[in-house]
Amino acid sequence: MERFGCKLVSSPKHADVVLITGALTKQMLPRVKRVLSQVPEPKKIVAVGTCAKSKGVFFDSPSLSKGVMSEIKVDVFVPGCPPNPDAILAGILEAVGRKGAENK
Amino acid sequence: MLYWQAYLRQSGEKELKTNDFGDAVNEAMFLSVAVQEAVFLPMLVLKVFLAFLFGMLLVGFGRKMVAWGQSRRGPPVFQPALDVFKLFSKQTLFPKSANLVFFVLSPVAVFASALVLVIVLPVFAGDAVSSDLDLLVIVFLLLMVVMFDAVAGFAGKSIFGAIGASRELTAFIAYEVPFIVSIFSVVVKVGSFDLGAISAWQASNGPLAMFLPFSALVFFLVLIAKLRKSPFDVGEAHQEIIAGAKTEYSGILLAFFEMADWLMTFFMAGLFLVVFAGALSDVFLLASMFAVVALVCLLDLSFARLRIDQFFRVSWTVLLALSLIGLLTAVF
Repeated sequence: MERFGCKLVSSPKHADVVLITGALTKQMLPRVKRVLSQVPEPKKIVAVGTCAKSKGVFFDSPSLSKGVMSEIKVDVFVPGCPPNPDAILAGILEAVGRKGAENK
Repeated sequence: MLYWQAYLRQSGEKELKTNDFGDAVNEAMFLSVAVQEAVFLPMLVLKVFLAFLFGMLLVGFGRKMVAWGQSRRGPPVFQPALDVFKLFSKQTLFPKSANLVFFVLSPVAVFASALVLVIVLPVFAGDAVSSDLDLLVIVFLLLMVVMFDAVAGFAGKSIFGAIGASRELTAFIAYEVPFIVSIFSVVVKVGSFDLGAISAWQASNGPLAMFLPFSALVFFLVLIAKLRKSPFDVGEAHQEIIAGAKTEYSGILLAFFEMADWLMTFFMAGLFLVVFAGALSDVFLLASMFAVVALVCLLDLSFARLRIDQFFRVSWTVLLALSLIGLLTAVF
């Protein structure tokens, strides 16, 4: 991933793209929102995997929030359960607006 | 400024003896001083520009090296420049609880100190900005860099920043004494704080690393700590404390830290080579800088991080002992 200049950072203040990689529980939701508010603009949010998008196998769990779709403005969805690594990469590159990833 | 004094004296003399026979000589000297004066500022700007360029390339090269060690392709070598351009276009967030004065001041101060350090280093433009106390100036400016890094950590009022800052200061206490002793052994050997004199000494006697191998070793290990690489990267242990002192920084302020990082990489590698590897030509010096960064990155890849207490113990026993041996070899 670093060959595209993407670098994994641990502080939300250094981030450009945020990956949400699982189903959002009710407990987690306010914290996610708080972290997202700390990411400086312009920022992009990528939901990775079926769980993040539509709760996947946890669809009937009572502890889940209404879902990422209605709570957070997500820029790119990466489908799959689990998603293909190339698909995740393509999703991130689409979020930062870089095309032609499949040729690399 | 010396040039100006010389300039004024020359022009005054010139008026006194316009019809003198020594006029041609006088004129030539006047011209050479004027040329020096005119060339000084552009040379300085060129030097700073080259330091930026090569500092950036060194950092990019380091990332490439690490990628190579982990069987990855790695980013392009000029990626750090792209990152900084990106940071300039990003929003800068100020934490509500932060002490705004110090929050803004410290990245600028770190950057400014690094800039002055690079200017003091006698590469490219030669010894343009030199004093008899180069090494002392450098020691104090390096102190400024560490101090304001720590102030940045505390000013953000974040727990990670505070931990990072306190670790950075602890590491500083650990490595500073061996560092100063190893520099002092060079001063004792050469008899001057002046980097120009140290270069001149090495030009006639050979590289100092041959005479003071222990001091060179200690200096190199401290260089690793200064550049925050394993095994001495306690202040910026990114797996443990997010990004240490820089956790709360974003946008332009973070860009200042990044650029200070380039300059510091350039400066530390350059200082090590100037002090210990002797008088090198500019091209060879640059090539050697890349070699130093490559070595630091290989060590970074191969070693785990020391805990802060382990680092402290190693510093105050092994490093201090080595540096004292270095001092003894310098004295006798």
